[in-house]
Amino acid sequence: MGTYVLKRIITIIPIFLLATLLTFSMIRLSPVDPAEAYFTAAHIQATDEMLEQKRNEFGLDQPFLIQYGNALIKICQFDFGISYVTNKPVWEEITSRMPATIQLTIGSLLIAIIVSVPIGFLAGIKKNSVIDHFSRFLSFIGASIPSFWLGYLFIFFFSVKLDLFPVQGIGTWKHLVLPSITLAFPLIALYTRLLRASVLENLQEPYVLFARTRGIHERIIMGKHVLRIAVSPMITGLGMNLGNLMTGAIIVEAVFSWPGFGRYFIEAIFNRDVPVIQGYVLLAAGIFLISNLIVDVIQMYIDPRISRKGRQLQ
Amino acid sequence: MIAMFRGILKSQKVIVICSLILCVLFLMALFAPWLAPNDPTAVNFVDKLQRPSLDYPFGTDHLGRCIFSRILYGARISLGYAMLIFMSALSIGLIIGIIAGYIGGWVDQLLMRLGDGLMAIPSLLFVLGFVGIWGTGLKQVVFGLILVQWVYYARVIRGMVLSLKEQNYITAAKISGSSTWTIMQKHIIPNVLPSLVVMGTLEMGWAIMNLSSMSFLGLGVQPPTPEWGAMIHEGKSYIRTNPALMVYPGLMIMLVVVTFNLLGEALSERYGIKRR
Repeated sequence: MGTYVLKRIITIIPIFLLATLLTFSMIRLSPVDPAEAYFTAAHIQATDEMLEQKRNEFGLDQPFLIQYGNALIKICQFDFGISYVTNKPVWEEITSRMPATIQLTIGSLLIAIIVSVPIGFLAGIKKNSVIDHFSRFLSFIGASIPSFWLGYLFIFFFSVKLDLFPVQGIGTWKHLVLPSITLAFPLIALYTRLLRASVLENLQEPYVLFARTRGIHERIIMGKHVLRIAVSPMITGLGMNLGNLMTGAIIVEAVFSWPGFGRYFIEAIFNRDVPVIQGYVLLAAGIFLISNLIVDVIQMYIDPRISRKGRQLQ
Repeated sequence: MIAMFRGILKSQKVIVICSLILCVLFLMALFAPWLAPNDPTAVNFVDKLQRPSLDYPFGTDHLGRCIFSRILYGARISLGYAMLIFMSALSIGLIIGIIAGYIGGWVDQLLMRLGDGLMAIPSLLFVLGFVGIWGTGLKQVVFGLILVQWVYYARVIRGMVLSLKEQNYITAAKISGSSTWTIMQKHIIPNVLPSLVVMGTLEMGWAIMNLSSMSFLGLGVQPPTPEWGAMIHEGKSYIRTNPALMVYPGLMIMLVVVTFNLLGEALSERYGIKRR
């Protein structure tokens, strides 16, 4: 168990380094001069001397690998540089806006789990029933509906027509409802589908037949054994999907004027605020990799067969 | 003849219906200049925010432009660029996947690690970052989407090439003196292509959705070019008074993406190809 976790951590480090190298090369290969970008973003008319001075400050005269090394050391200390626009450290900007984004993400994850677990589970147990057809319909629509459009539909029906929820902004729990449902929609589609497939697969397993022949009540077999193992792919999906959730949040925040990090990120893109863009991309990569690791560990607790498989491989 | 057609329709209902819908959509996009009743970018303030009529089947937008014509022309951009993204990502993935799988060794290691690094960053976020640094615009968005997409094809193809390489007929071809290029062309590419088409069908929906998301955020297609995501972006200010401005383009995105997803699903079930 301990060795498995350690091994996973060790495989993550080179991948993260590669991601940083890719991001760094993407910035250095671009036709944009960071010094010029700095002055444009800060709305300063720069002279050649100022540009030269800024280039020295950024260390652009040094060889590529030394620049990369310096940047990497700073990244490891959570120092992503200073925003060109606000002149504040990027890390500070990110952390001050993160709570709103985290609130939104957790809200939508909760909704997604509450909705998709019962539907996916029942759809799997009762194949071709009404609820099964409904679940398939839901997973197709959910995967195909553009979330920005869905957000506006919600605003139109629930805020403009029915006046149940506020249109935009943050504040009470009512503000959270529409954005989280919008963000949760594709997740509901995915989880319902994953759980249904996994339940169907598990029903074919010998352990179900064994439990049935032992005369264990169907309800206990389903609730205690099948459900427990069947949620496993859903948890993997959760880890794999966290990246989509982070980008989905950017779009949903744009629709609902949610003051989280996504909106700030879009502003940074329009301003070419390079340190903010780089910082968020790397942070997302880090969160994505770590969450996948956590998911793997949780899965091992739920389904002990995984670590046994790992041990056999060793 | 009719009986045969009925038989196909019955056994592969979803595939046939979805293909028909897509054919109609592609034809609509292709013949948009002849089908559109009005110029999609002609501004006409006299007729702004009209209800649907014979002249304007879906009504007009805030600048008096015909929504129906804009939708038709929008199909050209969405479908056209989705095809471009799919084809380019597929070609790059095919070349890199075959090189990695066939040559192996450090080349394989290098290419696959590059892919790992790319996949560690959530793909849409990578595109956003790319657009942020290289500048906003359709060209950059398309390029960014290709850049994150080839990895998936390359991985699948590499895996297939690795298992194909062990097949006896490949060894036989080698012994009989076929060149590497002939083996690729005659034996490997035809074998991997069907799965790629299935993957690509699902990918088309992904590309259309993300292209319109980017345009919605104002990073991709710029107004006044008619594109579905950009139309929603422009129409959002009129949500209280004229929701039609954003309802039609949204419905179109959904229709196209649902069709591609259903078709991809049905094809992968029919030909027993696992989705990623």
